[in-house]
Amino acid sequence: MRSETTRYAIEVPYLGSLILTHSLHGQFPGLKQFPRQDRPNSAIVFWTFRLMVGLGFLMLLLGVCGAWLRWRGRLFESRRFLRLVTLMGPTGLIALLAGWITTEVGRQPWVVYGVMRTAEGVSNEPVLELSTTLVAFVAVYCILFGTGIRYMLRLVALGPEEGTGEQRASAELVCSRRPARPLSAAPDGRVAH
Amino acid sequence: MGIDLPVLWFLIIGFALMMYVVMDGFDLGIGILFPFVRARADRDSMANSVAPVWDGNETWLVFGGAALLANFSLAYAVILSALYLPLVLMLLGLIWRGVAFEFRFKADDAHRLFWDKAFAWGSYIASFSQGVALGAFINGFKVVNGEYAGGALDWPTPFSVFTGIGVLIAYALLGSTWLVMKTEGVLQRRMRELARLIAVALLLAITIVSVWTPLTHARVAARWFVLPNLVLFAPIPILVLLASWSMWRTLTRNTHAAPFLHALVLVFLGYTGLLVSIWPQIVPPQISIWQAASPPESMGFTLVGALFVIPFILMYTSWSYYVFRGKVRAGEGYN
Repeated sequence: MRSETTRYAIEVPYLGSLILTHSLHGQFPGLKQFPRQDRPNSAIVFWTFRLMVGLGFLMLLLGVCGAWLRWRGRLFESRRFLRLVTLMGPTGLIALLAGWITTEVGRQPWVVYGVMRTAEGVSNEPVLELSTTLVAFVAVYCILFGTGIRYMLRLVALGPEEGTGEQRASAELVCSRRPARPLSAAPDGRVAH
Repeated sequence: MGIDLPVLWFLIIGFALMMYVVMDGFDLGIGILFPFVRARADRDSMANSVAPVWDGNETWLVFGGAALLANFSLAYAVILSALYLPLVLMLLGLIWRGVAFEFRFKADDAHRLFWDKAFAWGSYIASFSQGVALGAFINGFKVVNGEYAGGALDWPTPFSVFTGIGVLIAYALLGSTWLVMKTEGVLQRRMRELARLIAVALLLAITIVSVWTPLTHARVAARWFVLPNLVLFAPIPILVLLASWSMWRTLTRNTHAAPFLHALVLVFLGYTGLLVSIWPQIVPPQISIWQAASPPESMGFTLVGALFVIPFILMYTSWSYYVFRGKVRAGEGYN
């Protein structure tokens, strides 16, 4: 970051210009053309952006692998693939958070671009008040998400419902509280008439 | 210019907040009434009666907040800074009860009681904080150079604590009359009894606030008790009395939807009284809606979006209420 260089770069000509200015030879200013105090923390943005894109490509790869296995008729047999799918479970959320951090850190130090700096947008609230409420939010979210994850894991441990048709209909009468989507308020589509 | 944009936007935001008060009011009321109902089947019916609609109700709060930010950014900055603590409490309450509402259907019997309590507590905290914020808003804010200049703890006063209790009572009335409409049998009878008590309490609370506000706020007294206004606004208190009397009659007979409709009228009248008291201030006591207004370009631009989106919200909202009309029966979830 200090030396203003990127090591191990892979360069794709024209693409950036195509996305940002919609022409092959458009020019957009590089980071180095901005004064230092107007730049975001490039190390954070560098890694979060790559994390997001990397996970995105992994997801694409997973889809291609799945299609290939399906074509070979081994989609539900390949243990390695199924394990990989399980591992990929949380990556959607991680990629989303990484992308969010990229935009939020990337637009610093501005809160309104070119008009107002983040530091100027801060309210007069006392630090004590803000830190107390932040701690309260973190605590409440930990309790609620912790419980939510526990309920979801329990649903996962229960496994999917097996059987089809009549078999399934009678099974539903016995155990009608397993929802089709996690954490829905009421059992979906199962009203005992 | 043909239309007065600040007035129009003030009315739209006022409408959105009233929709919020009415709609989230009755489902917060369900939580407020939870401690008064013990049987698990009854609690399930209560929760099921709002399950299909409750999370859509908060749309209006978000809409009102976003519209305030875009069109009266000064008011947004001052009010949200001044009311930071009660509003954060409200959010924590809303988050807590919303999640508890979902979890109580999923928890095993050992934990269900905990989530029932969490649902009730969250509802109490959210409703009370809203009422306190309302009281603090009527009290007014200290503003210097367009920024909130008061302290972090200016909001709790005896008056704002009382309006907090008042909002709790109003929401409990909305909730109990909603349940009179949506349930049958023992639960309905219980709600009818409760609604009678709550209706008396609400009338008492409205009277106290109506006396207290002009006594301590000279500008409110000057609005109501000068001559043309006194006659002009007289229908509001008269209608409150008429509506309360008529509501009492519906609660002593075998009615279903009528008490809820009366509760809506009462809330609407209380809300109108509030608007009469503060108009045209958006940050009492000094800043008017014209002083706090954003440039006409912003207001016109957002108006186009609002006029497009409000009919859609109204359409899908009324559709979902139409689909889930009628009584909730025991053991029936929504499908």
